[in-house]
Amino acid sequence: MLRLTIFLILLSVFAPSSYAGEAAAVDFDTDIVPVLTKSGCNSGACHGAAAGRGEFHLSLYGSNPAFDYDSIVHRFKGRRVNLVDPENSLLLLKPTESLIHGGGARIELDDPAFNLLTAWIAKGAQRLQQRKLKSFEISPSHQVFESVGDKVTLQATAIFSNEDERTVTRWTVLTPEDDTAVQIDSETGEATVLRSGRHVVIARYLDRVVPIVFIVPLQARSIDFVDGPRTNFIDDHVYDLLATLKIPASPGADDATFLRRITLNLTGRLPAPRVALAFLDDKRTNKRQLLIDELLNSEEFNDYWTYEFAKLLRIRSQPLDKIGARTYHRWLREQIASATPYDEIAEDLLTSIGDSHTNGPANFYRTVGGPRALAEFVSELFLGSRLRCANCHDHPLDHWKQDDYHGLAAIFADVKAGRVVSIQSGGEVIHPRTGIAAVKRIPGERFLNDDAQGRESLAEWITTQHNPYFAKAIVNRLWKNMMGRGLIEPTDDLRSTNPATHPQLLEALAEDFIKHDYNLRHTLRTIANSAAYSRSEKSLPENATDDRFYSHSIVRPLEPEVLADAIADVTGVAMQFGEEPAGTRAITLFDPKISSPELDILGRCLREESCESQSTGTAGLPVLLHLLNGKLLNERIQSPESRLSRKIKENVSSEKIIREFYLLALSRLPTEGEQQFWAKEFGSIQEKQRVDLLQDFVWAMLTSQEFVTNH
Amino acid sequence: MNKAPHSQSFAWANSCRLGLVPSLFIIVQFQFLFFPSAIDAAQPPITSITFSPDGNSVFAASQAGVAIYDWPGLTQQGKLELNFANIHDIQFSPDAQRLAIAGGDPGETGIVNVLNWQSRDTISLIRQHNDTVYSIAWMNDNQRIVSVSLDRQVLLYDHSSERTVQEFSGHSKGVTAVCLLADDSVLITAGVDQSLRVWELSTSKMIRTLNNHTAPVHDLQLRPNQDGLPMVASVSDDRTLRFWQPTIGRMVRFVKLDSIPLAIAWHPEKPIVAATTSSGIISIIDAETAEVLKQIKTDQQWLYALAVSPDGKWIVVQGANGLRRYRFSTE
Repeated sequence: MLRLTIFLILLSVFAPSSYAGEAAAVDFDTDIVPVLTKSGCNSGACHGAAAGRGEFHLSLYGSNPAFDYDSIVHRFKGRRVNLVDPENSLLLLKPTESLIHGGGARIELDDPAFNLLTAWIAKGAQRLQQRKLKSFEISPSHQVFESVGDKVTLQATAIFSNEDERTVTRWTVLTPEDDTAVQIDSETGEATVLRSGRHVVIARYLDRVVPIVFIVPLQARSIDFVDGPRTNFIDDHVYDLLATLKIPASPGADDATFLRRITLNLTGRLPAPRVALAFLDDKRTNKRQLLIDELLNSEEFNDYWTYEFAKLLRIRSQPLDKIGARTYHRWLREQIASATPYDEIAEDLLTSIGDSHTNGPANFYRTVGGPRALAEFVSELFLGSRLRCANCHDHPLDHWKQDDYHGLAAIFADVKAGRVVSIQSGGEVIHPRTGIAAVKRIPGERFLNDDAQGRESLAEWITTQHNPYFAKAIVNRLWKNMMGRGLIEPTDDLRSTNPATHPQLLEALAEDFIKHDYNLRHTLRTIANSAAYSRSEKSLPENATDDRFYSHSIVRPLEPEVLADAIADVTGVAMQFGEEPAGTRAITLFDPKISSPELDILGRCLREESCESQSTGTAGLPVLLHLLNGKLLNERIQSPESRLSRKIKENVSSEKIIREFYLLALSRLPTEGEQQFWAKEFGSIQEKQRVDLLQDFVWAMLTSQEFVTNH
Repeated sequence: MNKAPHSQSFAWANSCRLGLVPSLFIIVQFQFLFFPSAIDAAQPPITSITFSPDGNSVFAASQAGVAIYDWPGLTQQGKLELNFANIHDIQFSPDAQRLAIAGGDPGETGIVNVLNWQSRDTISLIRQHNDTVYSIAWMNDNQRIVSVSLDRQVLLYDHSSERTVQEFSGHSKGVTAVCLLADDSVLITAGVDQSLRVWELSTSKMIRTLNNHTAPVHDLQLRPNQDGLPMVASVSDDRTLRFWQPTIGRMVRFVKLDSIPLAIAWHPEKPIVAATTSSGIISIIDAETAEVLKQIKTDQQWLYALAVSPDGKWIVVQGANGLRRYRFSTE
């Protein structure tokens, strides 16, 4: 207190003008809330937490100024502001740590924030509501630097509803996604890049969050991609960023690698040896394009992409009811096989009702329980956006409000999802902020009239070509499936503050998708034909650290069901899935709950939650240990019915067996070095050891990274 | 509790808080000199209102201290000279000889000042709390006072000796309201932890927790002059006013209001309560049916305090300039 008193005396003598200036008119919503945000008071770790902290609760990042005003000025009989003796307000004593404060010192006594808060209280701590934020801009929002250590000063400008334009850099929170890559002076806005690469800084002011992208080349030497192979617009965009980052591209993949990659990507299976040999012998210059078209038109494509979309739609059996899931799965495969446009699929899913045993898409509303869960599911599926954050508070990193979340949920409140999915009026969703029924709302757009057909209106809005999310969300997922990483990651978290690595490419892919009638095969074909897709997975010394700019192909683990089918194909021992007919392939299963110890070991997604955020899969240590030591491989390799056992019985030579398994497992012939290695191995053993060595050889094939990954 | 342990200056400030007044006065004077706009402050909220024992005056407490108004004119007649501000409760002793004034500095000190009502001299100044005292209650012996504070403590002391006689531990968050049954056998407290706690005074033991409220409780008042089981009314952020029979642990009935009820006062004779709210409406509620009988719109919002005149005809609340009265009727 003494410190504070002395300061105030000095302030009154030496700095009257600044204090008086702050005292002119302080608006709570647009002057005080930014101070609270900048000081960290309303962050999730402090008073912005769901339950507040220290019996002081603020809305997260000031999303609800009315609530914050009441919390500060009215709660506990106005204990936090002292209108008689403003400097003695708890609101000042705590953050200056004049009183002990769990959050430490957040404001200094000579800080402009202190002066502003003091002036506001001295003026009566009124809310005023003089203006609203109309627009907020950061300059520059995209900056390419020459080298590490370069600096730029960011300037934040706010324009308010009363046309007042202000520089608000001091009150803007600038947060690097990686603070080891960018350092920011919070008062001046000066940013210093500390590492090469592409870095994102999030600027927050009031309810706006804006991304700032910094790019620092990886090397000084410029790279010219003018002569690089390019087949369509994808390559233009990928090369542009590689040139900016000065990252060289790896050469194209060889035919065998390309064949294996594209066959896995489009059909979820390994190419048959005869197909591999034919492709490798094919001398036509357009053989890759022909192969892509052939795969896109195959039944295997329909199976695999039904599997991919079944995961996305979380198709699974309900308790004591498998018929619905089977009907749903069958319907989905029909849509894939008949190349139904994706917008039509979405519309069918959103609007279908009826008997889920006979009407496949009606099962959509049985996927999750209740209107709120449906709102989350629909937003993540069709908008690629995590609306769920707006359940408890306005989304802290996006523009979604609580009204959007509960308004979307209200659209589904009338849906009754038993075996027969029906609409029964009278359902409602209580808005936690108001305590009354939420009004149906197209998120981010408009409230619906009470009599509006909510689901139909929603379906129309989602699938309109002007929807900013729908096309991007699906092409980003298709891109990830083909390229190993989404242009935006995670793929269900599209928002302005999580910008795409190649924003123009994402736009172009979405526009192209819409232009081609939401045709999934078209976009897959476009990606598959790009030079970026056919790049080698082998990195160069200069691009070895690149994991997102597509200078080389990204190696990724095979999906559990794909790996299971591949193991069965190579060993020649099929897996049994519950009571499904013998020979059923894992990717064709309609229900992830069908009994299969093998798929459980390999980490299949049970589709109870989103499979996109699942951290398990075939890349984990348990799967690796099972592959190395478990029965999954060993029993199959040693089985009398196995492909290897049959070859041995048929007295096929070791050399031929080796060649066949290389083609089966790796879609290529052994290299000269590999042939020599195995020749030496087999030449150094006695005949009675041959079977063991052959089994070891197959085991080595199936546990190799080359086999368990798509590369 | 809640003290900066590392700073000698803070210790000085706490122990010499009264000594700060002159320097703060200087600041105020400087503000007059340099910042004329800065002193255009709003009226601080009134946090407690009570009638004098003779019924001729009304006392209103706030961050500015205690102002005295005549009754029924409600013209400010003066101000009590106190050594502290942030007053939250004012209560006359049962024998009307003493006036206890409670408050203190948020996060620092809770103070109860007992004055001789005739001479206005301070009899005792009790600083047992580490946060503002929100509510007090006299015992019938005119010597002991119970105080509750946001420091979570419920303390009973002999005001003459300024010593704590009993402590009641149980609230997990700040305590905002207290009342005693007419025979002083049972104490009831309520607070931010959403609960009412019932304490046996003879043993200091908590005998009941009443936890129907779903948000912090702001006020608690015992129905006066009642036969049969004692009844108290409570109001909470959950927008409910609840009626309880604390000795048997029963919530009798409740009513949900349109805005947050902040304070309550019983009619001296009838089973009716008046509740002030955050929207500035005074709701008149029948305690036997929980029916809202009447709503009175005032010219203020966030009415933290009210008092009912001894004859039961008027309700006094904060007005645009000082206090304002409204007729306490159900019609």
